[in-house]
Amino acid sequence: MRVGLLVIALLLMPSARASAEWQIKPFVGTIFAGTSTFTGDLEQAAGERHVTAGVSGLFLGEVIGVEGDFGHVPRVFQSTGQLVLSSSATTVTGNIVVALPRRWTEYTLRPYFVGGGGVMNAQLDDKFHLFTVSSSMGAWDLGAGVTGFLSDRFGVSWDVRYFRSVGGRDEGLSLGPEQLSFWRANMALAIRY
Amino acid sequence: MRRSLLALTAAILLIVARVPLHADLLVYGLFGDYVDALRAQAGIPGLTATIVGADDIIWEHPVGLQNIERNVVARADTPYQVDGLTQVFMTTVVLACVENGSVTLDDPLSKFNPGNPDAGATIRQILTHTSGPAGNLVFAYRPDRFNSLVDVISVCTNGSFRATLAAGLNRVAMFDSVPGLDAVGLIPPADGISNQTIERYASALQRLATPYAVDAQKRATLSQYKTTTLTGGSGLITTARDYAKFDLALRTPPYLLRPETLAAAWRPPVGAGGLLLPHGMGWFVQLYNGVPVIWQFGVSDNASSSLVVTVPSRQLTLILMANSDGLVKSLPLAAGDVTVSPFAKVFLGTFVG
Repeated sequence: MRVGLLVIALLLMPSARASAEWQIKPFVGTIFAGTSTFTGDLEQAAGERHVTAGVSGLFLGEVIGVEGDFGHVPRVFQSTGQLVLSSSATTVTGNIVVALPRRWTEYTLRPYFVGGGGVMNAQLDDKFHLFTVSSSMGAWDLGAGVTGFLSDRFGVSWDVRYFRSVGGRDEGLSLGPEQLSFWRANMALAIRY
Repeated sequence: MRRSLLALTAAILLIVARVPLHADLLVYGLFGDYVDALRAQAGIPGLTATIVGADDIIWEHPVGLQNIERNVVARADTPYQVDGLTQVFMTTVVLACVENGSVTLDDPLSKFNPGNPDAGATIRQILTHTSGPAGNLVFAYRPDRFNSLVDVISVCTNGSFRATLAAGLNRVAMFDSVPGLDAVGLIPPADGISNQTIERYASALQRLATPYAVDAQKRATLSQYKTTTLTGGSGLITTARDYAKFDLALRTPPYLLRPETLAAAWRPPVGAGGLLLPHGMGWFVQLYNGVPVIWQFGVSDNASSSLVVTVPSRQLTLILMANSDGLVKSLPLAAGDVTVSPFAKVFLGTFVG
């Protein structure tokens, strides 16, 4: 109950226009603990770690913000490259961000929670071209992170999110409906405007 | 385009080259890599894959463990429960009875056992998994119906299906095959089986692949065979090598069945509206890129699975046997399309195109 009141109070807190900010966050990171139903994941590589990169843009008020996030994971279905010639996963999501009020975290890291939905595209091509996939699915993501600014303009951000596709079709190229999920941990350069 | 080139290369190599060539080995090597990957994906503990050519085995690929606890690797001659594949043996025996004039395909089962619940069905309908009046046949895959054919066998051979099959296995030199788990408990001369044969069965069963249940995380746990005896459509234990002998005996002289009998068995029946049904006599039949493909599968939940795919025009047969249900589990093979199996898809994509 007390937590609920606190949340309502924070949400209703007059967000001084001066406290709203834009942040652009180019990031690099890793995905891990992935799962996939794609038959073409012949090297069972979806569960391995893969490098990822992308960028997110955030408009953040005193507490609430909205974010657009783009992430790309090359070689997501490749481990040895023996059977899978090329592969990637790309996510584009729109998210709601709930952060601690800026005034509470002026000189320290500012935590936030993030969640939303969008699309995930998975691509792969195998040596015999028998399980070739180019599939766009719905997706949701949920996570949290912290951002700290070293100056008025520049800072760093650490973020962990879980991505999961939804609404995948079953076109004989997967064990059940097409599905891909993974965790993403990344570090970003935060640029504030 | 690239797939077609690959298939063309494989086909030319198989037709022209009778000795192993480097490119030939490359194709089989890659095919083996796919089989390994798909086995791992399905969490199958032990698998034996074999390809039979025009007159001999041309590729053998045992992989994984036939017994995890004792770390026993799967071999080309590992015996497996082949479940529904038993149907093709029953079919062969019945068609031999048709050839010698003992029965006809249009004989109703009531002729052999008036009390049969499927008494109105004909032998042909049981073999093709169909029912209903001619011209309006309906397909429904029910291997259990094959058990009705044991009455046909006893009229035709004056013996049991087990005795007939046991004699047939000897005839084709399938010496690692056993007509039902409980055959080893027979007291000779029951079913005409000798002491020596019983000893051979016992020896084969000592090497029988251990069955496993595999969960979603691909963890294998010890299981048990639910089929413990031979029925008309299940219960045979055999090896990929032994099945290869049977396959060759069907396709090469002196034929187990006359070529025209086999050709008729591998022809799809016609259903309502002239629609071709998916199951011939004893085998599924379908076209893959215009090429006839003959196949059958077997599965026992949490224990075993098997798949055999023959491409008559390429004189090729793929045999897969596994000690979990991973070759078949969750695949709608009973609907009549073998390409839902990734293993079959790779085989057909590689060697047919």
